[in-house]
Amino acid sequence: MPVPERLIRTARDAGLLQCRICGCLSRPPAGVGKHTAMHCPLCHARLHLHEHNNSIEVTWALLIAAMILYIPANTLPIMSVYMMGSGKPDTILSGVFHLMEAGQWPLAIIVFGASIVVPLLKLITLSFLLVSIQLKSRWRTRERMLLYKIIEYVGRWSMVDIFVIAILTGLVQFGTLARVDANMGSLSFAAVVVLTMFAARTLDEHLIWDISRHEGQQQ
Amino acid sequence: MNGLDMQQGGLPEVEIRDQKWPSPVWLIPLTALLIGCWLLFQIWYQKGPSITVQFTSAEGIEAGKTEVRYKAVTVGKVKKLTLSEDLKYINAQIELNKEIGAHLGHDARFWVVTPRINRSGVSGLTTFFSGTYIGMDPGTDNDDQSFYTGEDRPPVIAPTENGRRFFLMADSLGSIDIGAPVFYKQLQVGEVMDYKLLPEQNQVRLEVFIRDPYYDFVRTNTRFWNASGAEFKMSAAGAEFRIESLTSLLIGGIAFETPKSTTAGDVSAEESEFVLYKSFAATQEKQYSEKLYYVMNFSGSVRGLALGAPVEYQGIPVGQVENIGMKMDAQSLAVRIPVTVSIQPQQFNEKLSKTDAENTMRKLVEKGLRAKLETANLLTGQKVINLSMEKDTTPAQIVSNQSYSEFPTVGSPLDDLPAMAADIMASMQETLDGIKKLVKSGKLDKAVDNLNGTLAEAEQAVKAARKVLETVDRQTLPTVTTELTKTLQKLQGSLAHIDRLTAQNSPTQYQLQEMLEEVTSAARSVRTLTETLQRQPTSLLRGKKGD
Repeated sequence: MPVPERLIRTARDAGLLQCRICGCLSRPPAGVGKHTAMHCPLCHARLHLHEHNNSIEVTWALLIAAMILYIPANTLPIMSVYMMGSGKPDTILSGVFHLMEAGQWPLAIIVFGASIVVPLLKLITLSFLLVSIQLKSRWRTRERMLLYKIIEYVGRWSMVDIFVIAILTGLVQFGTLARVDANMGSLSFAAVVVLTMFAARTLDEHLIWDISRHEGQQQ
Repeated sequence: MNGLDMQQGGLPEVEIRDQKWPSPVWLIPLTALLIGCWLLFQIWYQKGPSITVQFTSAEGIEAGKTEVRYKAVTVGKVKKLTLSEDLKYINAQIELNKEIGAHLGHDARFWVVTPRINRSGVSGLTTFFSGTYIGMDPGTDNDDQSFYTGEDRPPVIAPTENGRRFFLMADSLGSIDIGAPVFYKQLQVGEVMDYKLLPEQNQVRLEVFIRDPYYDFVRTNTRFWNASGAEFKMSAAGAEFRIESLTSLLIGGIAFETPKSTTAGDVSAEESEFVLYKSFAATQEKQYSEKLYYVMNFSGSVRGLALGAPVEYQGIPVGQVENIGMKMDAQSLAVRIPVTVSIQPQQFNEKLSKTDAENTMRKLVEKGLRAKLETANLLTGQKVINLSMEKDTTPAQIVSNQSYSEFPTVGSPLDDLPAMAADIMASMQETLDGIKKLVKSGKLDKAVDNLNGTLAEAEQAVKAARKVLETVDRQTLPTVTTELTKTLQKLQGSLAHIDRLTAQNSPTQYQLQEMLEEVTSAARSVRTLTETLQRQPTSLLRGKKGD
């Protein structure tokens, strides 16, 4: 980055707020509390100082919801496959074991990676990013940025499992011969994937930079 | 916005609003939390009791797969299979649903359902596709326990069905199997649920289930009988054929009926006990519990007397033959045939007690009651023991020196037909011998000589008479004579006719001769027949045995 950070002047540097909707510049009153809602005088849209961006709040909310649902997603069965009348519900992990027993190692690794590791990594990484932002950490900003990009890109692949279940449940309904049913676990799992995807989206990646720059200015 | 300009000092101030509530985005984790809690609650709520059921074999049972079903609804699952400590049984750890767990009683039953073929048909066919499952019946109370013993075979009817259970006591099971139908007026109203051998009574106890509303027909005096197969009876009363239904012909069955002759009793309570009669005919006989046992020694042959043959008093059965034995005195080589009979004295009088009955029998014997062996059916040669009052008999008494008292017997004068026929033959022989003797003695010749003399004298008398008649003819009664002549002529004609009839080659003579020959041969046949009958009384029915 060849441009010196000091040269960049923003509205906030001047102690002003710019509305993101109508572009109106306004002046925040003195002594604004953390939970004080500020609105644009022109269009009445919410105004945020970057420190008080609700991006963090929303991301936390979604992340916590995803964490809660991650438990039933892995403990409850996601799918039941009945062949010739016999069969039983499987959780994600037992499904992986079944694949391993059947010698389908590549498939087992893919399922294990996409369905167990990726959601877990997403939860951990997002939490780490959020915590680091809130601690105003300046540690390895660029690497954290890369981490965020990877998480956002990989997250959607966890939906493969859900699509497989959806397609099988729709296609394989031959009564006693063969039947595939979706169970509660798949709903939880889908919720986890969707929630983490949203959480990744709502996390304002600017914040990773913002803090370091802001603090750099103060120094 | 009129005060708005680009000068910093003229910039509008930010609008401030108080925010009372935290951001609505927190509703999302709240919802997730609620869903999570709800799922947890559901899992906790649905978790029923965990029980252990002991089976003799784990055939078809798979841990984690085999389901427990009640009325074809899955209510639980086998979690684990372990061997019992003595390695004789397998313990299936079963996790039941909450719903069924609440109704689990101490008498709950578990059994393995596999496809099976029995005489009633093929059952459990669904298990071909769904695999073996464990059937269950939750029992009657809510007093659950954690250990049950599984049953080897499925019960026929779940006791939830309305109806009543009754117990039937039988001497033998016959061809009755579990699931065999119970008929009332040839209508299937129930089934045999179970049977068990009771070692103390040495009897089989059958458990039958009669459906609502048919159990109303089971009264206290109702009689059950084994309706298995066909009943064919050839008795002194003739032949009888009876069949309850085609089903019962194949798999056996039980029928019941309340005798019409007696007034219907009250409706029987649950689990009442009844006697299961061997046949319909057996239910028709009056059954009394009191029995007197006697031994009868018959002098003649007891051929045709079978076990169970009736003991009759003037044609009414009062008992039956229980045993026919044989005893030989080692010194004298005299053989006796003691026949043990049982007599139901209450057939004579229902109010007789056992001791009274014994005394009564003694009195009757003193008055002349004797046992006689009689042929009941000429065709089959079956015999019965008849008790009857004999008038001119030597006085006798019931002798009670053995294990059973001895009942006096009397030989029948018409002991049997072959003996009678032989007697007739013997006397005929005697008569013929007498005639022979008479002819050979010469007395007959003398008599013929005397007759000759008599005839000569008669001739002279006739001549004298003729003279008299001639004079009379000529003188006094010519008209009478002519009448007489006419009569004589007519008589002559008649005599000539008789002559023709009796002539050497006349048809009548021939026919008579033929008839006599026939009679002779018939008599011979009767003789052979009686001889054969004497040897083999059954030969009429079964044909002559080849030598």
